[in-house]
Amino acid sequence: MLNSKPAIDPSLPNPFLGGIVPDAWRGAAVDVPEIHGDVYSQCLAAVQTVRTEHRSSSLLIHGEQGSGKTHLLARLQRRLTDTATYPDLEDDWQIFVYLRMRTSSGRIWRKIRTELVTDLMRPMPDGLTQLDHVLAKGLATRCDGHADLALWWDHHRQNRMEELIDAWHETAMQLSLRDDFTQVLEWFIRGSHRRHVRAYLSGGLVSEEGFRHLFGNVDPSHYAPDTEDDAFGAVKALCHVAGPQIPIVFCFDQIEAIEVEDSAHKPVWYLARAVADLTDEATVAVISCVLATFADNEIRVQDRPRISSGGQIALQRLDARQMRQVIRSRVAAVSATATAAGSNEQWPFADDEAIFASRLTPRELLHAAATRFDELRGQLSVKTPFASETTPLERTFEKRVDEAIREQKPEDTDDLIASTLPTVLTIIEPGWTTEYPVGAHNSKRDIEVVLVGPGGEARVGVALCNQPSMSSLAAQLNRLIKNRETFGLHKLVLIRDGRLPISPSAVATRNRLDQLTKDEGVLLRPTREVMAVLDAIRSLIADATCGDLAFDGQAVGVTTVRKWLADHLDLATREWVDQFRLPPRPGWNDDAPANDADVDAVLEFLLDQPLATVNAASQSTGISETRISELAAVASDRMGVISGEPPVVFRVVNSKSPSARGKSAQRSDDQ
Amino acid sequence: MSESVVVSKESRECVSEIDDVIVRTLASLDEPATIATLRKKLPGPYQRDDAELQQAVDSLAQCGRVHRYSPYRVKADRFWDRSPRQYAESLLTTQTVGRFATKNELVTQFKARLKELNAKEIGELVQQLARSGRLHSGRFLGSRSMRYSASPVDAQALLDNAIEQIARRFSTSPTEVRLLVTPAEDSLVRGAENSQEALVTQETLVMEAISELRPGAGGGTIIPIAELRRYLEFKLSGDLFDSALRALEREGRIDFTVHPDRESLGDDGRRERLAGEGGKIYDMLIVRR
Repeated sequence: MLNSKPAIDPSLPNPFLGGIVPDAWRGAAVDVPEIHGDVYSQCLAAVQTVRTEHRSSSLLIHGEQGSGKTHLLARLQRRLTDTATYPDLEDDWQIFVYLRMRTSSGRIWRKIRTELVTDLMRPMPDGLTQLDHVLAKGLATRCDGHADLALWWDHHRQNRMEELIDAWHETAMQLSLRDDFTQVLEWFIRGSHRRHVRAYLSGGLVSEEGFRHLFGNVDPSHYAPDTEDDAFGAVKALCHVAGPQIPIVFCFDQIEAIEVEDSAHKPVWYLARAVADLTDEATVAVISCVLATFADNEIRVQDRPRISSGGQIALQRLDARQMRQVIRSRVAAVSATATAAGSNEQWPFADDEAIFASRLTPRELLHAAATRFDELRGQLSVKTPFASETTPLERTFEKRVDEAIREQKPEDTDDLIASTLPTVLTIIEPGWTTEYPVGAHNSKRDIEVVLVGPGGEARVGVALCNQPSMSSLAAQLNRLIKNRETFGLHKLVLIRDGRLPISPSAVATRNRLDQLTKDEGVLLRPTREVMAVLDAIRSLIADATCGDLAFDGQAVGVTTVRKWLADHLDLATREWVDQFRLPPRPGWNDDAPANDADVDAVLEFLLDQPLATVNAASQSTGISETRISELAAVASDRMGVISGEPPVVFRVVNSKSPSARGKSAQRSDDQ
Repeated sequence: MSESVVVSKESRECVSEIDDVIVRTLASLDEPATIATLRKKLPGPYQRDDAELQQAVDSLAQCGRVHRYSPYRVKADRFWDRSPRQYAESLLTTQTVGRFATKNELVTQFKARLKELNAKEIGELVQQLARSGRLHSGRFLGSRSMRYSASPVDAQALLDNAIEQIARRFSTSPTEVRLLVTPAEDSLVRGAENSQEALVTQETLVMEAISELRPGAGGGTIIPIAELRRYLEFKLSGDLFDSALRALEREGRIDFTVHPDRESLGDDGRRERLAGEGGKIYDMLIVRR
């Protein structure tokens, strides 16, 4: 007898929706420990090796898209950073660092440094940062500390600070720690200037005011080279502070997303080289997750044993028993379906269901289960036809642009442009290639990359000029003036994030800028919107490259994404990229800098007071009130004016501006 | 004065000799021993009275050459040359052969003999041994409890446990249940042998080729299908190679990985890999553990 009644109550929520774990710090709520349990154990064994044998251990994990690499790292993160039970000083402890390798091969160490510091400064459930744990455990051994770590640390920092500082300086001396880090970490222990401490340790943007707080009246250019060598040194120094007693666990994910500078090598080649250096120079645990799509000969012979010193292992597809466990855990995680299932462990799928017929990755299983669940509750899934794949891509892209507008910071600008500009250029006009100049004339990497037009018809040098310190910027511009001829460029493009003002009082800097942009040179001041679009492009391409972009359970390849971007990039972004590949348009040099100079003047005024009357701004900068209102319309991503009595001008920090919304609409219209 | 020095030297040598004998004897034992047990195990000339032995062992314990253990079953301290942690490792790895117990069960079982360690320490040691591979771990069918054993928690262990459960449920003996299972296993094997016979040679060739390309690598080995295809080009070409791979995958001996960007592959790139369902291109294979 046929029965049309759905097998499952249609009002029940589908417990199998949502599959991709965004990153190791935001793991899935549902976990089945037995899945990849053997690999997980190897990860813990690597950490233990560092602690007990005082030597580095590096595990290489292969896993195809959707096999649960990031999920595994999230499980590891929960285990290694679990402070819910308030650890004692005597307890084993370790530092978890998660790195999604969305960068270029020439900036790997800077990426590692930034992410290491970001995660060291990440607060744990007990309220302390990971760096607090490192320092507390390290100093407790000198101060005869014991029992609850957080209480001991708080007590000493409140009541026995000088004792702590003495112990810290002894520790630093024994470690031969560089002076600047000793000083900066002292501020951290004291709980002062932590924003500047973080920026300095991570090689980020430290304002001149920040330098004064950290070091007194010392020339900032002396301290912030922000090179790969300096970043490597910083990473080593921080690893030495932790030591093998507190193993730092570096987890590398999305390795395939590294933009390679030399196409003869694949991303994993660069990462393996970095891991070899890291494990040679510091005692750390490394876990590298890669897609199962590179051959053994794609790593240097000497790096292979280092990147897999703790083992090399592949994530297996799930067998029927494991698939049952995943389904049961998902059902149990949602109260409505858990109630519906009751004690029936088979619910909602019988053993003869097609989804159990072959071994699947977790992502494939969840998609199949979600689809089948919908069928059983009478809601047939609508399959997205292949031809309309652009729709979810478009939605995803828009969402990521919006997120980037909120979250992208000027500190990320160098890395973002270096790793994305070559890609975007080739998407818009295939045939462009890149060169990375080396030699004495570029020892400080004043020119980040030279873009070479099809057939070598054009050589465009790109210089990243995002230093917060005017003296550092002036020094870079000076070197560029001296060495410009050596690069053999047809055009020079200087990039300074529009959110970083150039002080009107920085006369030398402005003169040098004028000199460099006089002939075949331009200064670009990318807006928040442009940077957000670049960020979204990078994340979309990175996810597709690493198999982490999937719609309807089907992975979307990077070739598909590139084609889609080529057809759908908005006009504003295309025009921005055109400034690299085309000669400057007539009049551009005359108009834009004038606006930028005035905007910079107002922004500098607003640095100290984010909100002020237009009249006060006008009096301080010498720019008329009417002009300030006009500038607010032109640079709405950086500043705004609120009409009223009196009208006020304010600095835009982190919100989506009206123009961004306008551009989103424009992108939709274009499509 | 010189005489007394000589006497003193002899005395020290004598003490040192019996100390070494005690330590060697304890080292030969499988577990801590009381003074009474130790005396029985000592060579004849060294079987001193209990008080003298006790004094010697106490001094050895003081200088750290032997470890003192709390009484177990009798009211006397025990002594061994190994630490409590080593004793715990020994118990956990030798007393759990063929037994599959949860962490709590293991703690309960051994805590009386391991009074020097608390329950948390024993539990952590169980997990460490499991992580390092010295204990096996796994769950029985229908159970959420993780079990540990010196024996693998493999298909046989799961089957034995399932048979015991079925026997209990139907108030019969495990032997009776086992009789129901065996014919089915036999017929399956026979059927498989018949249907797979033609492929066995090709499958063996493939597995041998993997071993040759990745010597020493067992389960978890990854190999690009294109590389394997080229390696076997003159032994197993075209459809035969594809069939052998698919058969190995069906048997659960290998898994395929899906190429993350099939659009980037040209015709040659697709041909040298393996076509899958729904337009998928399989890129690599992984030998299952």
